[in-house]
Amino acid sequence: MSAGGAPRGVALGAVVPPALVVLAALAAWQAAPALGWVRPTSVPPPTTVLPAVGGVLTDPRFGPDLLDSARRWAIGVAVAAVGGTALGVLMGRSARVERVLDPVLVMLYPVPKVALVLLLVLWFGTGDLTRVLVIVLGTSVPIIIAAFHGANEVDRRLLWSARALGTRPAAVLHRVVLPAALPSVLSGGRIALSISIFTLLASELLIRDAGVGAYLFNRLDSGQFVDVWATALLLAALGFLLDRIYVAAVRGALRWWDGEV
Amino acid sequence: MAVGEALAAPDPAPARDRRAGWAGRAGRALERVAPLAAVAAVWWVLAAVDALGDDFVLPPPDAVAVRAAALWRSGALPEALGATVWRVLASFALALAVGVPLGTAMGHLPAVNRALRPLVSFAFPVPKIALYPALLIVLGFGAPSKIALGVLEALFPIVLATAAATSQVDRRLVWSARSLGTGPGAVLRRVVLPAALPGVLTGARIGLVGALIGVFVAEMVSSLDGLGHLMVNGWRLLQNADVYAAIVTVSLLGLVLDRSFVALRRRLVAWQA
Repeated sequence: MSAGGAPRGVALGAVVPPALVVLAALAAWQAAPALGWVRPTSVPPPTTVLPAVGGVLTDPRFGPDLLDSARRWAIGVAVAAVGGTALGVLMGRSARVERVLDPVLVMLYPVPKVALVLLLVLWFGTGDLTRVLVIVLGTSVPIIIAAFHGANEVDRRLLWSARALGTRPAAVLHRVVLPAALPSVLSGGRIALSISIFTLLASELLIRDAGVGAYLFNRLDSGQFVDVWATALLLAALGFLLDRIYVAAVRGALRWWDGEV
Repeated sequence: MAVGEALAAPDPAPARDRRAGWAGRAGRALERVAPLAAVAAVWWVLAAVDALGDDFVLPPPDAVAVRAAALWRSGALPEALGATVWRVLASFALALAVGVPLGTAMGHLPAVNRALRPLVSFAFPVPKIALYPALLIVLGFGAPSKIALGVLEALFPIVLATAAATSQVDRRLVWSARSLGTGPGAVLRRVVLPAALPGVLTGARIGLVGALIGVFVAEMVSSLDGLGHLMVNGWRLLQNADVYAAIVTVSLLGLVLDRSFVALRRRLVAWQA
């Protein structure tokens, strides 16, 4: 970044190329059904889909479904964030805990946690507990791994200094390790965020009694294809927005940190 | 973008296990088997005390094993496993074929990076599964829609890690090669790509798991065959043993795929520490 502000050419150079690519993509999308590359009923052009987004937003069933999903998601993510961080930090600082938990994590990592939804429904019914648990399971793993790495790689000298100044071992954990591990945890949190949304949607597409995933699939079942595309677009935009908000929040909270989330 | 860097970061060298000879090998093998044994043990105990429900809800491991064997003999399990495996591998191959060139172009050519990076960043956090019903409309209920979701889930880690890895290649290596007369194409092939390989393979590992998750979830939501379908079908027909068998199978599949890839990666980048 040049001192004294970047010249206008730099700003244009950053915006124009991606804008052109987006326009080209939109044009291709618009042309495809018109040119017969795809069936217009299967792939409606943007001029049909974009207005339908408004229709979805104002659909009286969409709002409550969205709030339903949002509530469960928020609880699951909160539990995963707090529990996962605690567990990961513990693993990072205690070799014994790590030896026990690391194989479990390695085993769980490639397993699609969403697959466990059906088991959870079998054990706990279709209520909120099941849905929150699925989100917790899916979201915890990246947070635990990130917290583990963050806590494990804390500069030894910080720990020695704190102990030398008389800090008790337990206090070292929350006054030195936790803040030092925070950047890593927040990076992992960003990935966990997108995984949490995926897990939420997948579990609702599967158990279709409430939530935005159910709304989406019901549109498919009743053959309202335009609404399917519109809802998909809406959910995609929501995922993107949440990510932007997260990055902005982290940058605001961690002003002392130079890195990127 | 730090997520890309994180994805491309090579695995830190594991602390060397100094136990030598057959005792060391036995110890390491035991450590790998121990978690599986622990899970089986916990499962057995929970089933025995009916902790989560009766034998219908939580069948003990031996009942599931018996059912799995029956499914295997009848051909249902091999068929489902085969369908899922080939879709996962197809998704992974496609994602690599598209993602590695794309990521390399982004990492190596600033113009391409300027044009595509914002879009890739936009698309990365988008829940691709929201597009799955649309994919069903366009591609039907057969294999292509499952492969498409697998590709979508696998593509972004691969692109981001490849872009990060190729952009972080030591410039001095490139300069040396150029000053010795190597053409731009040869520099890419002989300097940049090999140097970026560790990071690319780390991203590919995440992509492989993504492909498995994408395919399996697609099969769960709506499919005519595959492990996900086997699971959901068992659920609908109140054949809970089928559900457990499918979950154990897909977990083992994920483990095997991931471990094989890690071993392959270690071979391919054996020259790295």
